[in-house]
Amino acid sequence: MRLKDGLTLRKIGKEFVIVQPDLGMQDMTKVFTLNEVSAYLWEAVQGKDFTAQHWEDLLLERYAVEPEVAKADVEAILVTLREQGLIVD
Amino acid sequence: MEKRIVNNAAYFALIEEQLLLGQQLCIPIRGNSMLPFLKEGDKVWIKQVAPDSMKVGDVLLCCWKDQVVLHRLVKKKKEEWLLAGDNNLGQLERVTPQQVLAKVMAREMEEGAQELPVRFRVVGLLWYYLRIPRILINKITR
Repeated sequence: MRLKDGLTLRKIGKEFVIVQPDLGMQDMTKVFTLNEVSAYLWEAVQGKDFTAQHWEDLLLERYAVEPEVAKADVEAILVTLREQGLIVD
Repeated sequence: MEKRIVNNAAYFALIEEQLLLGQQLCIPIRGNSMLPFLKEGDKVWIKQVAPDSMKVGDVLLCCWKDQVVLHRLVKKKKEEWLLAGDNNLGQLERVTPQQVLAKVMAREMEEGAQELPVRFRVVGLLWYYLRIPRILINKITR
């Protein structure tokens, strides 16, 4: 899977916001924001194919979490991103 | 994905950044200062355009004091522009052209973006010029 093309992550203040500047016209009535952990994972795979395992490994490397927690967190993030069409297979 | 309210300053910093990149953006109307023409929840498309192409009667997104306002341009002098909310009887915002971020180009309707017709500008201005009678009617009917 990979992140949908054309998306950029912008840090504005304390927020990480997803924008799609390639379109020329953007609907800003709902903006997608990521927390710091999700933003870290996002930036790590920008422009690349990746797997859930890849993200789990990144979490385990960077944060002191148990593997089951990393797995559950990654699953939750993927569900949300897929629902919003931000990830393509 | 849960709905969160993004910090206003952060949101408009992003809006300004994207406008500078030449993006046309759809933003929600907040508040009722532009009634009867625009109301809370309406959506409009905005774009950064040259100051010369902004006409009296256009609705503009501007930085004013420590806020961002979306109000109608009612007077245009060289370095001082006056803005007013259509529903505001007293307040006038004085801004410089540099404080103007964007112009409202279209309204988002169910069927998609619809460019604002000339009458939106004309009728809106007429509404502004009728402020004195509107103030009187407001006082009488209270």
